[in-house]
Amino acid sequence: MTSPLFMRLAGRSSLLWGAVFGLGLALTGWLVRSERIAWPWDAVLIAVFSLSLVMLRRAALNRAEGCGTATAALKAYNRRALIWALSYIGLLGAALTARATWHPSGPVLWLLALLPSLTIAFLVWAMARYLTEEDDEYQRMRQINAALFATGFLLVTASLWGFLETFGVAPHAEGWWSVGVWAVGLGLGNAAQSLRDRQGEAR
Amino acid sequence: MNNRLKVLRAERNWSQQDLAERLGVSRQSVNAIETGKYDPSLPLAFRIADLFELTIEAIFQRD
Repeated sequence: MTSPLFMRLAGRSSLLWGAVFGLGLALTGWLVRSERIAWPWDAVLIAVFSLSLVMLRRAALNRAEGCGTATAALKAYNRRALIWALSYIGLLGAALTARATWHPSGPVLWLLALLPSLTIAFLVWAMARYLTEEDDEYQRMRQINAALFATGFLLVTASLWGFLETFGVAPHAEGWWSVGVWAVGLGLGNAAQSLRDRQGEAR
Repeated sequence: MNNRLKVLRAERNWSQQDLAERLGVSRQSVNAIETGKYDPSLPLAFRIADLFELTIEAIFQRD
């Protein structure tokens, strides 16, 4: 049974929980880079901040229910996206722990390096499933628009950063950042459409 | 494309949510169609026409 406190906290804006998660990761990164904390406290902090994803999912569902957009397909997608996010963080943490503890090499190291990326395939599958399961054609179109926006956003950001790196004015960014940049683009694409929907909304 | 959805809905005293439930879509979708932000597919247009017992061209008109 869901506790009243949980429901009250989940009633907050999904933007708030997204900000808690993003700022939490940024804070952890800063603490690690400035050598204020080390393993395993960075993993503990990431695990704690990851809990905000559960609240983020609940808040997003509350909002969708309020707007009348909480379709069965969207609920299934949100559930799968939460599974993905927690699996990604869990597997990344496990891979980093294994590398730091046992210092493996050869095929084991390859396997550890590939482990977190396996969950990305699950996320792509979850998005494809959503688009095939969604019966509401307007909602489907909105998600496709948001995905196209996110893809464009990622292409522009990655190219821009790549050239800054080539000319030696920006530090190297790892390729796995692309998932995060794409997710930000998806959020911006959805926010822009929600804003447009709210303008001139009729009752 | 213009449409008479809002008028037809008002004549039956239906809210957007009522219409959305009858069509099996979200309220947001009904709002987007009513306000001209989204033109429905042909299958959805037929479902709307069937619901109001009208032809598609009696509900949707060109600009």
